[in-house]
Amino acid sequence: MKDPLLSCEGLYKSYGALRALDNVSLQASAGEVVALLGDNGAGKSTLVRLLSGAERPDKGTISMDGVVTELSGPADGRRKGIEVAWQDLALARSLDATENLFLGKELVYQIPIPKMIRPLKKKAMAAQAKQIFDENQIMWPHSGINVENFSGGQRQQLSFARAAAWSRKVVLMDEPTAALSVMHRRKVWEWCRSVADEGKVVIAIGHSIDELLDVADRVVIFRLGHKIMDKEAIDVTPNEVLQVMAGLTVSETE
Amino acid sequence: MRTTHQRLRIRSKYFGAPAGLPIAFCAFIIGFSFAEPGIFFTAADFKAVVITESTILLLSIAVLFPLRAGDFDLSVSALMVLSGAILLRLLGAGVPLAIAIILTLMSGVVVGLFNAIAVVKFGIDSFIATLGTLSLLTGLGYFLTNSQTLINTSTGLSNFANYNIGPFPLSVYYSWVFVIIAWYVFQKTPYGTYLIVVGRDRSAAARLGIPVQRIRMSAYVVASLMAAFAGVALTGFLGSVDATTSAAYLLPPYAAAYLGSTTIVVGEFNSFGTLIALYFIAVGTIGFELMGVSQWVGDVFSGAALLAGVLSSQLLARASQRRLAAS
Repeated sequence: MKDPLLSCEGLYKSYGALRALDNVSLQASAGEVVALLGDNGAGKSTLVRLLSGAERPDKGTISMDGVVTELSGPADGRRKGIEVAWQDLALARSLDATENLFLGKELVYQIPIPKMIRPLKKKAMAAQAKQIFDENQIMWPHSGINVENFSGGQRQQLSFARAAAWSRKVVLMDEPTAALSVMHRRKVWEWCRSVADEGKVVIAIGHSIDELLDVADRVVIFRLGHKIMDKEAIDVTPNEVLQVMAGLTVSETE
Repeated sequence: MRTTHQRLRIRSKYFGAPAGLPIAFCAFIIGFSFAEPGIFFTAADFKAVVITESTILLLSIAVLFPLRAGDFDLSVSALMVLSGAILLRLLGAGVPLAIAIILTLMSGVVVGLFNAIAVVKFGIDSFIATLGTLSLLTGLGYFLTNSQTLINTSTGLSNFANYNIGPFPLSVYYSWVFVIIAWYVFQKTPYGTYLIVVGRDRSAAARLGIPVQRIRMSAYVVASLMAAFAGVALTGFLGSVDATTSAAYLLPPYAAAYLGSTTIVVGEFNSFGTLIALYFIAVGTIGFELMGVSQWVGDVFSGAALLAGVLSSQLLARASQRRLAAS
Protein backbone atom coordinates (compact mmCIF):
# COMPACT_ATOMS: atom_id res chain seq x y z
CA MET A 1 0.00 0.00 0.00
CA LYS A 2 1.24 3.46 -0.81
CA ASP A 3 2.72 5.56 1.98
CA PRO A 4 0.57 8.40 3.18
CA LEU A 5 1.63 11.70 1.68
CA LEU A 6 1.74 13.35 5.09
CA SER A 7 1.72 11.70 8.46
CA CYS A 8 2.74 12.38 12.00
CA GLU A 9 3.47 9.97 14.80
CA GLY A 10 3.30 10.59 18.53
CA LEU A 11 3.48 14.37 18.46
CA TYR A 12 3.80 16.19 21.76
CA LYS A 13 3.87 19.95 22.17
CA SER A 14 3.75 21.96 25.37
CA TYR A 15 3.80 25.66 26.00
CA GLY A 16 5.14 25.94 29.49
CA ALA A 17 2.75 24.02 31.70
CA LEU A 18 0.11 23.75 28.99
CA ARG A 19 0.11 20.47 27.06
CA ALA A 20 -1.22 21.55 23.66
CA LEU A 21 -0.73 18.25 21.84
CA ASP A 22 -0.63 14.88 23.56
CA ASN A 23 0.53 11.86 21.61
CA VAL A 24 -1.11 12.84 18.33
CA SER A 25 -0.79 10.61 15.29
CA LEU A 26 -2.41 11.28 11.97
CA GLN A 27 -2.18 10.12 8.39
CA ALA A 28 -3.34 11.76 5.22
CA SER A 29 -3.14 10.35 1.72
CA ALA A 30 -2.85 12.17 -1.56
CA GLY A 31 -6.21 13.46 -2.72
CA GLU A 32 -7.70 13.53 0.77
CA VAL A 33 -9.44 16.41 2.44
CA VAL A 34 -9.07 15.97 6.19
CA ALA A 35 -11.30 18.07 8.42
CA LEU A 36 -9.89 19.00 11.82
CA LEU A 37 -12.57 19.79 14.35
CA GLY A 38 -12.54 20.58 18.00
CA ASP A 39 -13.27 23.22 20.53
CA ASN A 40 -10.99 26.18 21.17
CA GLY A 41 -7.78 25.08 22.77
CA ALA A 42 -8.13 21.55 21.42
CA GLY A 43 -4.77 21.68 19.68
CA LYS A 44 -5.81 22.06 16.04
CA SER A 45 -3.86 25.24 15.34
CA THR A 46 -0.87 23.83 17.18
CA LEU A 47 -0.88 20.82 14.89
CA VAL A 48 -0.98 23.09 11.86
CA ARG A 49 1.97 25.07 13.21
CA LEU A 50 3.96 21.87 13.69
CA LEU A 51 3.07 20.42 10.30
CA SER A 52 4.04 23.66 8.56
CA GLY A 53 7.41 23.85 10.25
CA ALA A 54 6.56 27.08 12.05
CA GLU A 55 7.27 25.27 15.31
CA ARG A 56 9.07 22.10 16.29
CA PRO A 57 7.44 19.28 18.24
CA ASP A 58 8.78 18.39 21.68
CA LYS A 59 8.53 14.73 20.78
CA GLY A 60 7.37 12.70 17.82
CA THR A 61 7.99 12.65 14.10
CA ILE A 62 6.52 14.00 10.91
CA SER A 63 6.83 12.03 7.70
CA MET A 64 6.27 12.74 4.06
CA ASP A 65 5.74 9.86 1.66
CA GLY A 66 6.72 7.52 4.44
CA VAL A 67 10.08 9.17 5.05
CA VAL A 68 10.68 10.84 8.40
CA THR A 69 11.16 14.54 7.74
CA GLU A 70 12.59 17.19 9.97
CA LEU A 71 11.14 20.63 9.27
CA SER A 72 13.73 23.17 10.31
CA GLY A 73 11.41 26.10 9.87
CA PRO A 74 8.60 27.52 7.77
CA ALA A 75 10.98 28.07 4.86
CA ASP A 76 11.88 24.40 4.98
CA GLY A 77 8.22 23.42 5.06
CA ARG A 78 7.52 25.58 2.01
CA ARG A 79 10.51 24.10 0.22
CA LYS A 80 9.11 20.63 0.87
CA GLY A 81 5.80 21.55 -0.69
CA ILE A 82 3.77 22.38 2.42
CA GLU A 83 1.83 25.63 2.31
CA VAL A 84 -0.51 27.21 4.81
CA ALA A 85 -3.52 29.45 4.46
CA TRP A 86 -3.28 31.07 7.89
CA GLN A 87 -6.28 32.26 9.83
CA ASP A 88 -5.00 35.84 9.86
CA LEU A 89 -3.99 35.40 6.20
CA ALA A 90 -0.30 36.26 6.76
CA LEU A 91 -0.34 38.92 4.06
CA ALA A 92 2.06 41.87 3.96
CA ARG A 93 -0.17 44.91 4.02
CA SER A 94 2.30 47.25 2.35
CA LEU A 95 2.76 45.02 -0.66
CA ASP A 96 0.49 44.49 -3.62
CA ALA A 97 -1.10 41.20 -4.67
CA THR A 98 1.74 40.08 -6.89
CA GLU A 99 4.37 40.87 -4.29
CA ASN A 100 2.38 38.99 -1.67
CA LEU A 101 1.98 36.04 -3.99
CA PHE A 102 5.73 35.80 -4.44
CA LEU A 103 6.66 36.70 -0.87
CA GLY A 104 9.44 34.34 0.13
CA LYS A 105 9.54 32.87 -3.36
CA GLU A 106 10.63 35.84 -5.43
CA LEU A 107 12.02 35.37 -8.93
CA VAL A 108 15.43 36.95 -9.26
CA TYR A 109 18.05 37.23 -11.97
CA GLN A 110 20.76 34.62 -11.69
CA ILE A 111 23.89 36.66 -11.05
CA PRO A 112 26.73 35.73 -8.71
CA ILE A 113 25.79 37.83 -5.70
CA PRO A 114 23.90 36.77 -2.56
CA LYS A 115 20.40 35.73 -3.48
CA MET A 116 18.62 38.31 -1.34
CA ILE A 117 20.19 41.26 -3.13
CA ARG A 118 19.76 39.99 -6.66
CA PRO A 119 17.45 42.11 -8.83
CA LEU A 120 13.82 41.03 -8.89
CA LYS A 121 12.35 39.79 -12.13
CA LYS A 122 9.28 41.97 -11.86
CA LYS A 123 7.94 41.40 -15.38
CA ALA A 124 8.25 37.62 -15.12
CA MET A 125 6.54 37.66 -11.74
CA ALA A 126 3.76 39.86 -13.09
CA ALA A 127 3.17 37.44 -15.96
CA GLN A 128 3.17 34.37 -13.75
CA ALA A 129 0.95 36.11 -11.23
CA LYS A 130 -1.55 37.00 -13.93
CA GLN A 131 -1.82 33.32 -14.85
CA ILE A 132 -2.31 32.25 -11.24
CA PHE A 133 -4.78 35.02 -10.50
CA ASP A 134 -6.79 34.24 -13.63
CA GLU A 135 -7.00 30.58 -12.58
CA ASN A 136 -8.21 31.66 -9.16
CA GLN A 137 -10.62 34.23 -10.58
CA ILE A 138 -8.91 37.11 -8.90
CA MET A 139 -10.05 40.00 -11.05
CA TRP A 140 -9.04 42.91 -8.90
CA PRO A 141 -5.76 44.83 -9.55
CA HIS A 142 -2.76 42.57 -9.31
CA SER A 143 -0.18 45.27 -8.75
CA GLY A 144 0.23 48.88 -7.75
CA ILE A 145 -2.34 48.79 -4.97
CA ASN A 146 -1.39 47.45 -1.58
CA VAL A 147 -3.49 44.62 -0.28
CA GLU A 148 -4.61 46.48 2.82
CA ASN A 149 -6.94 48.41 0.52
CA PHE A 150 -8.89 45.34 -0.42
CA SER A 151 -11.75 43.61 1.35
CA GLY A 152 -11.36 40.69 3.72
CA GLY A 153 -12.81 38.33 1.13
CA GLN A 154 -10.42 39.51 -1.55
CA ARG A 155 -7.46 39.12 0.77
CA GLN A 156 -8.66 35.65 1.69
CA GLN A 157 -8.81 34.75 -1.99
CA LEU A 158 -5.21 35.87 -2.31
CA SER A 159 -4.14 33.84 0.70
CA PHE A 160 -5.67 30.69 -0.79
CA ALA A 161 -4.31 31.37 -4.26
CA ARG A 162 -0.85 31.72 -2.79
CA ALA A 163 -1.11 28.50 -0.79
CA ALA A 164 -2.44 26.55 -3.76
CA ALA A 165 0.04 27.96 -6.24
CA TRP A 166 3.12 27.05 -4.21
CA SER A 167 2.01 23.86 -2.58
CA ARG A 168 3.28 20.73 -4.23
CA LYS A 169 2.01 18.32 -1.65
CA VAL A 170 0.10 19.76 1.28
CA VAL A 171 -2.20 22.68 1.94
CA LEU A 172 -3.03 23.42 5.56
CA MET A 173 -5.96 25.72 6.16
CA ASP A 174 -6.65 27.35 9.50
CA GLU A 175 -10.29 28.48 9.75
CA PRO A 176 -10.46 29.41 6.07
CA THR A 177 -14.08 30.48 6.15
CA ALA A 178 -14.19 32.31 9.46
CA ALA A 179 -14.70 35.75 7.94
CA LEU A 180 -16.72 34.82 4.89
CA SER A 181 -20.35 34.87 3.86
CA VAL A 182 -22.27 31.69 3.07
CA MET A 183 -21.79 31.98 -0.66
CA HIS A 184 -18.08 32.52 -0.30
CA ARG A 185 -17.76 29.64 2.14
CA ARG A 186 -19.20 27.21 -0.42
CA LYS A 187 -16.65 28.41 -2.94
CA VAL A 188 -13.83 27.86 -0.47
CA TRP A 189 -14.84 24.27 0.18
CA GLU A 190 -15.20 23.63 -3.53
CA TRP A 191 -11.77 25.05 -3.96
CA CYS A 192 -10.47 22.72 -1.23
CA ARG A 193 -11.91 19.79 -3.09
CA SER A 194 -10.29 20.82 -6.36
CA VAL A 195 -6.90 21.27 -4.71
CA ALA A 196 -7.14 17.79 -3.22
CA ASP A 197 -8.21 16.40 -6.58
CA GLU A 198 -4.84 17.55 -7.92
CA GLY A 199 -3.31 14.86 -5.74
CA LYS A 200 -2.46 17.02 -2.75
CA VAL A 201 -3.41 16.68 0.88
CA VAL A 202 -5.69 19.35 2.28
CA ILE A 203 -6.04 19.61 6.04
CA ALA A 204 -8.66 22.12 7.04
CA ILE A 205 -9.58 23.45 10.46
CA GLY A 206 -13.12 24.62 10.65
CA HIS A 207 -16.09 25.10 12.93
CA SER A 208 -19.03 24.49 10.67
CA ILE A 209 -19.66 20.76 11.00
CA ASP A 210 -22.16 20.51 8.16
CA GLU A 211 -19.94 22.23 5.63
CA LEU A 212 -16.87 20.27 6.64
CA LEU A 213 -18.61 16.91 6.49
CA ASP A 214 -19.78 17.83 3.01
CA VAL A 215 -16.32 18.38 1.60
CA ALA A 216 -14.09 16.21 3.78
CA ASP A 217 -13.02 12.64 3.14
CA ARG A 218 -12.02 12.18 6.77
CA VAL A 219 -13.04 13.82 9.99
CA VAL A 220 -10.61 14.15 12.88
CA ILE A 221 -11.72 15.51 16.22
CA PHE A 222 -9.42 16.95 18.86
CA ARG A 223 -10.15 17.57 22.47
CA LEU A 224 -7.72 19.09 24.97
CA GLY A 225 -4.70 18.08 22.94
CA HIS A 226 -5.83 14.52 22.23
CA LYS A 227 -7.15 13.04 19.02
CA ILE A 228 -10.42 11.48 20.06
CA MET A 229 -11.94 10.57 16.72
CA ASP A 230 -10.60 9.78 13.27
CA LYS A 231 -13.16 8.40 10.84
CA GLU A 232 -14.22 8.50 7.23
CA ALA A 233 -16.64 11.35 6.72
CA ILE A 234 -19.30 9.06 5.30
CA ASP A 235 -19.23 7.00 8.51
CA VAL A 236 -20.25 9.85 10.78
CA THR A 237 -23.23 12.08 11.18
CA PRO A 238 -23.14 15.75 12.15
CA ASN A 239 -24.90 14.88 15.39
CA GLU A 240 -22.31 12.32 16.35
CA VAL A 241 -19.53 14.79 15.61
CA LEU A 242 -21.19 17.41 17.77
CA GLN A 243 -21.60 15.03 20.66
CA VAL A 244 -18.01 13.83 20.47
CA MET A 245 -16.73 17.38 20.32
CA ALA A 246 -18.71 18.31 23.39
CA GLY A 247 -17.35 15.28 25.16
CA LEU A 248 -20.75 13.74 25.62
CA THR A 249 -19.88 10.35 24.20
CA VAL A 250 -16.77 8.26 24.27
CA SER A 251 -15.56 7.55 20.76
CA GLU A 252 -13.18 4.95 19.40
CA THR A 253 -10.36 6.26 17.31
CA GLU A 254 -9.81 4.72 13.90
CA MET B 1 1.11 51.92 -19.68
CA ARG B 2 1.07 54.04 -16.57
CA THR B 3 3.23 57.12 -16.24
CA THR B 4 5.68 57.31 -13.37
CA HIS B 5 3.46 59.88 -11.68
CA GLN B 6 0.44 57.62 -11.89
CA ARG B 7 2.37 54.65 -10.61
CA LEU B 8 3.65 56.67 -7.67
CA ARG B 9 0.17 57.94 -6.85
CA ILE B 10 -1.40 54.52 -7.00
CA ARG B 11 1.34 53.00 -4.92
CA SER B 12 0.79 55.71 -2.37
CA LYS B 13 -2.89 54.92 -2.18
CA TYR B 14 -3.13 57.15 0.89
CA PHE B 15 -4.45 60.63 1.15
CA GLY B 16 -1.55 63.08 1.12
CA ALA B 17 0.05 63.84 -2.21
CA PRO B 18 3.47 62.28 -2.73
CA ALA B 19 4.36 65.55 -4.43
CA GLY B 20 3.71 67.54 -1.25
CA LEU B 21 7.29 67.73 -0.14
CA PRO B 22 8.82 68.59 -3.50
CA ILE B 23 6.18 71.29 -3.92
CA ALA B 24 6.97 72.70 -0.49
CA PHE B 25 10.62 72.59 -1.42
CA CYS B 26 10.06 74.63 -4.58
CA ALA B 27 7.83 77.02 -2.68
CA PHE B 28 10.58 77.60 -0.16
CA ILE B 29 13.16 78.28 -2.85
CA ILE B 30 10.86 80.68 -4.68
CA GLY B 31 9.76 82.37 -1.46
CA PHE B 32 13.26 82.86 -0.14
CA SER B 33 14.48 84.06 -3.55
CA PHE B 34 11.90 86.81 -3.42
CA ALA B 35 12.71 87.64 0.20
CA GLU B 36 16.43 87.82 -0.39
CA PRO B 37 16.90 88.55 -4.08
CA GLY B 38 20.43 88.15 -5.24
CA ILE B 39 21.48 86.46 -2.03
CA PHE B 40 19.26 83.43 -2.13
CA PHE B 41 19.19 81.15 -4.09
CA THR B 42 22.46 81.02 -5.94
CA ALA B 43 24.20 78.00 -7.33
CA ALA B 44 26.81 78.52 -4.66
CA ASP B 45 24.12 78.13 -2.01
CA PHE B 46 22.96 74.84 -3.42
CA LYS B 47 26.52 73.64 -3.75
CA ALA B 48 27.21 74.59 -0.13
CA VAL B 49 24.12 72.74 1.06
CA VAL B 50 25.01 69.60 -0.83
CA ILE B 51 28.57 69.60 0.42
CA THR B 52 27.75 70.36 4.04
CA GLU B 53 24.96 67.83 4.19
CA SER B 54 26.81 64.94 2.59
CA THR B 55 27.73 63.36 5.92
CA ILE B 56 24.25 63.68 7.38
CA LEU B 57 22.90 62.24 4.15
CA LEU B 58 25.08 59.18 4.69
CA LEU B 59 23.80 58.83 8.24
CA SER B 60 20.23 59.31 7.06
CA ILE B 61 20.54 56.49 4.55
CA ALA B 62 22.18 54.37 7.23
CA VAL B 63 19.24 54.63 9.63
CA LEU B 64 16.78 53.75 6.87
CA PHE B 65 17.80 50.10 7.08
CA PRO B 66 16.81 49.44 10.71
CA LEU B 67 13.86 51.84 10.38
CA ARG B 68 12.40 49.83 7.52
CA ALA B 69 12.84 46.71 9.62
CA GLY B 70 10.90 48.34 12.44
CA ASP B 71 13.89 49.14 14.65
CA PHE B 72 15.70 52.23 15.82
CA ASP B 73 19.44 52.80 15.78
CA LEU B 74 20.17 55.94 17.73
CA SER B 75 23.87 55.20 18.01
CA VAL B 76 24.97 56.01 14.46
CA SER B 77 25.93 59.60 15.23
CA ALA B 78 28.25 58.62 18.06
CA LEU B 79 29.65 55.75 16.02
CA MET B 80 30.46 58.13 13.20
CA VAL B 81 32.50 60.39 15.47
CA LEU B 82 34.10 57.45 17.27
CA SER B 83 35.08 55.95 13.92
CA GLY B 84 36.86 59.17 13.06
CA ALA B 85 38.72 58.98 16.34
CA ILE B 86 39.64 55.34 15.76
CA LEU B 87 40.88 56.18 12.30
CA LEU B 88 43.07 59.08 13.39
CA ARG B 89 44.51 57.08 16.29
CA LEU B 90 45.38 54.24 13.88
CA LEU B 91 46.97 56.65 11.45
CA GLY B 92 48.85 58.26 14.33
CA ALA B 93 50.20 54.84 15.24
CA GLY B 94 51.65 54.48 11.76
CA VAL B 95 49.05 52.18 10.22
CA PRO B 96 48.81 52.66 6.43
CA LEU B 97 45.69 54.56 5.32
CA ALA B 98 43.96 51.73 3.46
CA ILE B 99 44.37 49.32 6.36
CA ALA B 100 43.36 51.95 8.87
CA ILE B 101 40.16 52.57 6.94
CA ILE B 102 39.40 48.87 6.72
CA LEU B 103 39.98 48.42 10.45
CA THR B 104 37.73 51.38 11.16
CA LEU B 105 34.97 49.90 9.04
CA MET B 106 35.40 46.59 10.81
CA SER B 107 34.97 48.27 14.16
CA GLY B 108 31.73 49.62 12.73
CA VAL B 109 30.65 46.07 11.97
CA VAL B 110 31.47 45.08 15.56
CA VAL B 111 29.27 47.85 16.90
CA GLY B 112 26.53 46.83 14.49
CA LEU B 113 26.68 43.27 15.76
CA PHE B 114 26.61 44.53 19.33
CA ASN B 115 23.42 46.46 18.62
CA ALA B 116 22.00 43.54 16.67
CA ILE B 117 22.58 41.04 19.46
CA ALA B 118 21.23 43.37 22.14
CA VAL B 119 18.05 44.12 20.22
CA VAL B 120 17.33 40.96 18.25
CA LYS B 121 18.83 38.20 20.36
CA PHE B 122 18.28 39.64 23.82
CA GLY B 123 15.05 41.36 22.89
CA ILE B 124 15.90 44.72 24.43
CA ASP B 125 13.73 47.51 23.05
CA SER B 126 15.68 49.02 20.16
CA PHE B 127 15.15 52.61 21.23
CA ILE B 128 16.56 51.96 24.68
CA ALA B 129 19.29 49.58 23.63
CA THR B 130 20.71 51.90 20.99
CA LEU B 131 20.33 54.86 23.34
CA GLY B 132 22.62 52.89 25.63
CA THR B 133 25.03 52.22 22.81
CA LEU B 134 24.93 55.90 21.92
CA SER B 135 26.01 56.79 25.41
CA LEU B 136 28.68 54.10 25.44
CA LEU B 137 30.14 55.18 22.12
CA THR B 138 30.02 58.86 23.02
CA GLY B 139 32.04 58.08 26.14
CA LEU B 140 34.47 55.99 24.13
CA GLY B 141 34.82 58.90 21.74
CA TYR B 142 35.86 61.21 24.56
CA PHE B 143 38.21 58.54 25.84
CA LEU B 144 39.91 57.96 22.49
CA THR B 145 40.30 61.66 21.73
CA ASN B 146 41.32 62.46 25.28
CA SER B 147 38.55 65.08 25.16
CA GLN B 148 40.59 67.07 22.68
CA THR B 149 40.27 67.79 19.00
CA LEU B 150 42.36 65.34 16.98
CA ILE B 151 43.88 66.72 13.80
CA ASN B 152 44.26 64.77 10.59
CA THR B 153 47.70 64.95 9.07
CA SER B 154 47.19 62.42 6.29
CA THR B 155 46.83 64.01 2.88
CA GLY B 156 45.61 60.66 1.59
CA LEU B 157 42.65 60.79 3.95
CA SER B 158 42.02 64.40 3.08
CA ASN B 159 41.96 63.58 -0.62
CA PHE B 160 39.69 60.60 0.06
CA ALA B 161 37.02 63.09 1.05
CA ASN B 162 37.98 66.38 -0.57
CA TYR B 163 39.31 65.52 -4.00
CA ASN B 164 37.13 67.53 -6.37
CA ILE B 165 35.48 66.01 -9.40
CA GLY B 166 33.57 68.73 -11.20
CA PRO B 167 31.83 71.01 -8.71
CA PHE B 168 31.80 68.58 -5.77
CA PRO B 169 34.29 66.82 -3.52
CA LEU B 170 34.30 63.02 -3.38
CA SER B 171 32.37 62.94 -0.11
CA VAL B 172 29.31 64.27 -1.95
CA TYR B 173 29.53 61.55 -4.57
CA TYR B 174 29.92 58.90 -1.86
CA SER B 175 26.66 60.04 -0.31
CA TRP B 176 24.86 59.98 -3.66
CA VAL B 177 26.22 56.53 -4.47
CA PHE B 178 24.82 55.26 -1.19
CA VAL B 179 21.46 56.86 -1.97
CA ILE B 180 21.39 55.01 -5.29
CA ILE B 181 22.57 51.71 -3.83
CA ALA B 182 19.96 51.97 -1.06
CA TRP B 183 17.31 52.72 -3.68
CA TYR B 184 18.26 49.62 -5.61
CA VAL B 185 18.33 47.42 -2.50
CA PHE B 186 15.02 48.75 -1.17
CA GLN B 187 13.04 48.80 -4.41
CA LYS B 188 14.56 46.12 -6.58
CA THR B 189 15.63 43.26 -4.35
CA PRO B 190 13.97 40.67 -2.11
CA TYR B 191 15.97 42.03 0.83
CA GLY B 192 14.36 45.43 0.45
CA THR B 193 10.90 43.85 0.45
CA TYR B 194 11.76 41.67 3.41
CA LEU B 195 12.89 44.73 5.43
CA ILE B 196 9.45 46.29 5.06
CA VAL B 197 7.57 43.07 5.77
CA VAL B 198 9.73 42.37 8.83
CA GLY B 199 9.02 45.89 9.99
CA ARG B 200 5.25 45.85 9.52
CA ASP B 201 4.05 42.26 9.42
CA ARG B 202 6.72 40.47 11.35
CA SER B 203 4.65 37.43 12.28
CA ALA B 204 3.57 36.94 8.67
CA ALA B 205 7.16 37.27 7.53
CA ALA B 206 8.25 34.55 9.95
CA ARG B 207 5.51 32.16 8.89
CA LEU B 208 6.37 32.62 5.24
CA GLY B 209 9.92 31.55 5.87
CA ILE B 210 11.58 34.98 5.82
CA PRO B 211 14.59 34.91 8.18
CA VAL B 212 13.35 37.69 10.45
CA GLN B 213 16.24 37.69 12.92
CA ARG B 214 18.86 37.66 10.19
CA ILE B 215 17.16 40.54 8.39
CA ARG B 216 16.92 42.68 11.53
CA MET B 217 20.49 41.96 12.53
CA SER B 218 21.86 42.65 9.07
CA ALA B 219 20.06 46.01 9.06
CA TYR B 220 22.00 47.01 12.18
CA VAL B 221 25.30 45.90 10.70
CA VAL B 222 24.65 47.82 7.48
CA ALA B 223 23.70 50.95 9.42
CA SER B 224 26.82 50.78 11.54
CA LEU B 225 29.05 50.05 8.58
CA MET B 226 27.69 53.13 6.82
CA ALA B 227 28.10 55.20 9.98
CA ALA B 228 31.73 54.13 10.22
CA PHE B 229 32.24 55.06 6.58
CA ALA B 230 30.60 58.41 7.26
CA GLY B 231 33.12 58.87 10.06
CA VAL B 232 35.99 58.23 7.67
CA ALA B 233 34.60 60.65 5.10
CA LEU B 234 33.77 63.33 7.68
CA THR B 235 37.21 63.18 9.23
CA GLY B 236 38.81 63.54 5.83
CA PHE B 237 36.47 66.40 5.00
CA LEU B 238 36.88 68.38 8.21
CA GLY B 239 40.46 67.38 8.85
CA SER B 240 39.71 66.78 12.49
CA VAL B 241 37.68 64.84 15.04
CA ASP B 242 35.91 66.52 17.92
CA ALA B 243 34.00 64.25 20.27
CA THR B 244 31.64 67.05 21.31
CA THR B 245 30.12 67.28 17.82
CA SER B 246 28.23 63.98 17.76
CA ALA B 247 25.13 65.38 19.46
CA ALA B 248 24.40 67.59 16.47
CA TYR B 249 24.15 64.52 14.25
CA LEU B 250 21.60 62.66 16.35
CA LEU B 251 18.28 64.04 15.14
CA PRO B 252 18.77 65.35 11.59
CA PRO B 253 19.03 61.86 10.03
CA TYR B 254 15.74 60.92 11.68
CA ALA B 255 14.08 64.14 10.61
CA ALA B 256 15.16 63.42 7.04
CA ALA B 257 14.12 59.76 7.20
CA TYR B 258 10.64 60.42 8.54
CA LEU B 259 9.95 63.46 6.41
CA GLY B 260 11.33 61.55 3.43
CA SER B 261 8.74 58.84 3.91
CA THR B 262 6.08 61.33 2.82
CA THR B 263 7.38 61.49 -0.72
CA ILE B 264 8.54 59.36 -3.66
CA VAL B 265 7.41 56.12 -1.99
CA VAL B 266 4.79 57.44 0.40
CA GLY B 267 4.44 55.63 3.68
CA GLU B 268 7.74 53.82 3.29
CA PHE B 269 11.19 54.90 4.41
CA ASN B 270 12.97 55.42 1.09
CA SER B 271 16.29 56.85 0.01
CA PHE B 272 15.37 59.46 -2.61
CA GLY B 273 12.62 60.81 -0.37
CA THR B 274 15.16 61.08 2.42
CA LEU B 275 17.54 62.97 0.14
CA ILE B 276 14.85 65.46 -0.83
CA ALA B 277 13.76 65.89 2.78
CA LEU B 278 17.31 66.44 3.95
CA TYR B 279 18.06 69.11 1.36
CA PHE B 280 14.66 70.67 2.05
CA ILE B 281 15.43 71.03 5.75
CA ALA B 282 18.91 72.38 5.00
CA VAL B 283 17.68 74.87 2.41
CA GLY B 284 14.93 76.02 4.77
CA THR B 285 17.39 76.52 7.58
CA ILE B 286 19.80 78.48 5.44
CA GLY B 287 16.98 80.53 4.00
CA PHE B 288 15.87 81.59 7.46
CA GLU B 289 19.43 82.28 8.52
CA LEU B 290 20.03 84.46 5.48
CA MET B 291 16.96 86.43 6.43
CA GLY B 292 18.80 87.36 9.55
CA VAL B 293 16.82 85.38 12.07
CA SER B 294 18.65 83.92 15.02
CA GLN B 295 20.60 80.69 15.18
CA TRP B 296 17.88 78.86 17.05
CA VAL B 297 15.64 78.98 14.00
CA GLY B 298 17.58 76.11 12.50
CA ASP B 299 16.82 73.91 15.49
CA VAL B 300 13.16 74.91 15.52
CA PHE B 301 12.79 74.26 11.82
CA SER B 302 14.58 70.93 12.04
CA GLY B 303 12.49 69.89 15.02
CA ALA B 304 9.31 70.97 13.28
CA ALA B 305 10.30 68.99 10.20
CA LEU B 306 10.94 65.92 12.32
CA LEU B 307 7.59 66.25 14.07
CA ALA B 308 5.79 66.84 10.79
CA GLY B 309 7.48 63.81 9.32
CA VAL B 310 6.69 61.53 12.25
CA LEU B 311 3.13 62.82 12.44
CA SER B 312 2.52 62.16 8.76
CA SER B 313 4.03 58.71 9.14
CA GLN B 314 1.75 57.87 12.02
CA LEU B 315 -1.33 59.31 10.35
CA LEU B 316 -0.60 57.20 7.32
CA ALA B 317 -0.09 54.15 9.49
CA ARG B 318 -3.32 54.76 11.38
CA ALA B 319 -5.23 55.29 8.16
CA SER B 320 -3.98 51.96 6.92
CA GLN B 321 -5.04 50.27 10.17
CA ARG B 322 -8.52 51.75 9.84
CA ARG B 323 -8.67 50.52 6.30
CA LEU B 324 -7.66 47.02 7.34
CA ALA B 325 -10.16 47.00 10.17
CA ALA B 326 -12.99 48.22 7.98
CA SER B 327 -12.50 45.58 5.31
